[in-house]
Amino acid sequence: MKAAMDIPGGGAVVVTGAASGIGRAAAAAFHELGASVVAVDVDAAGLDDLRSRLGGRSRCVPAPADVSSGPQVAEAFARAAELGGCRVLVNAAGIGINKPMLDHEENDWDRVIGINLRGSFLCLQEAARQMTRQDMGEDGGKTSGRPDRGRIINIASVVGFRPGPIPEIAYDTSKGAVVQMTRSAALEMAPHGVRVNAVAPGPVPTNLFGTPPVQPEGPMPLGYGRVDDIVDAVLFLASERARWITGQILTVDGGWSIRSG
Amino acid sequence: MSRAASGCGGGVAIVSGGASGIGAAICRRLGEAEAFRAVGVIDLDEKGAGRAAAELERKGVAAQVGIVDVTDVEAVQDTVDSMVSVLGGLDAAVAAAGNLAGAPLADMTPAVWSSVIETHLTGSFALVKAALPALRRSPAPSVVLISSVAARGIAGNANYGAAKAGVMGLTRSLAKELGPEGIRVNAVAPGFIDTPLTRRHAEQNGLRWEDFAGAAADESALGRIGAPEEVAEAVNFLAGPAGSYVTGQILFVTGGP
Repeated sequence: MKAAMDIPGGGAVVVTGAASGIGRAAAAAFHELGASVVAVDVDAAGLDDLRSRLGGRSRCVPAPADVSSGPQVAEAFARAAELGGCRVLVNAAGIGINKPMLDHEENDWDRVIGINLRGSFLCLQEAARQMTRQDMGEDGGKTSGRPDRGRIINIASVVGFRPGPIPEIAYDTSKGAVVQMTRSAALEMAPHGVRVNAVAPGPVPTNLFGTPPVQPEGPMPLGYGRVDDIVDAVLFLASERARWITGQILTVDGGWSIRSG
Repeated sequence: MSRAASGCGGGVAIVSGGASGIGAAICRRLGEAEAFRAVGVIDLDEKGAGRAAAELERKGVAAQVGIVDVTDVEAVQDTVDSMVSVLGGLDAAVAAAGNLAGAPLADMTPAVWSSVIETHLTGSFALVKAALPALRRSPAPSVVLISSVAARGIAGNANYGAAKAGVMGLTRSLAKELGPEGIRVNAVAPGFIDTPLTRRHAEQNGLRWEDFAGAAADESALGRIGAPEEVAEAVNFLAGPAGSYVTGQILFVTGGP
């Protein structure tokens, strides 16, 4: 089923949040498809574990970094530059703080917005800079009227447009902003041949939500999803098959967000 | 992953409007996909449907042609029943049959209004209804409807805009209704695509294709119009195992946000 990844002109796939959850699965999937992967996470030990699991002749370059830090993001993307430049970015780094709004402290807000929104923006901007520097030639995108310089996939969330039963206002807000950042970046980067889309997962079992995940209200028409369901959507949007798709939010939630309640 | 468990490899798809344009591209794409081994082509255009089926058969994909007006609910049921029986089941139903007959509101006759509403909206309803009994027997059933960016509003084609917005409501409603049975229902909303429909539309409005398509390309963020194959890729994603946890969604394939 998985077609070989058609990454334009070689280069690297940068995956943030690569030490666990969706980021880790995405990094492994791109690696399996033959891509060189720059794995970014604040958890350096987790990145080492990922690298060792991917096997000896690994094309996985761990780049420990806190994505909310501009200098650390720049350092991580220097690894991508060494590999020929970032051609695909998966912005999967994220944290959530589950507590009532009235209990949110300033620091809670700043941490969540800092990693989920500011971090996604810093990585998106750095990736887009590397992508727009690449000259793919006039026919680089085949049927495209513009060169195909790169693909960016942000991991949003269904709670970015429909909050769930768990109180996590900073998380919900950060993901809502990621949705709009995706659209704005897509519009601005389209003339440069960079597509920007997002996948909005429903609740899937990851470290962020715990296993088994918390029970949301209302029906889960298709039951709970898996990390691989999210990665399938990421791979689709990152591929040449999605060459006329940009600025879109692909929700993968088994129908959770169309619930009535 | 869900692939192994989803019965992929032996799937059967039925595509309405499969004779030309986006529908024909969907037939080709699903025919190439690992998940499907047979495609039923439904259309009013007998020659076009025959061509689409012949192309599938040349590639080793079993094909069946059904000539039927998609607004004739009973006839669609008969056609689908017969296809299901010949092809041995049904796993994906794709409603791509459509027409375009616009007019400014003051000039839009009830007949023109109804023809577009019925082809897109009633036609989609008819196909899913006809497919339902067979989909209920599938290990990995899915439905993909074709909406349009025109659902956001299209001057001079209010019937088309309303029909395509209706398709979105139909998609979400059926996703809710059929989700508990494991039947997924999604839609693709294409932007401006180079099809016989859009070319005919330009001709009927006295526009040169180059000018008509050029203006649409300028409106798209990626700076070009789309190809039927690009819509078919999105349909294949939603219809097949890679989209196994996606339901109730509208995927815009428009070259822009």
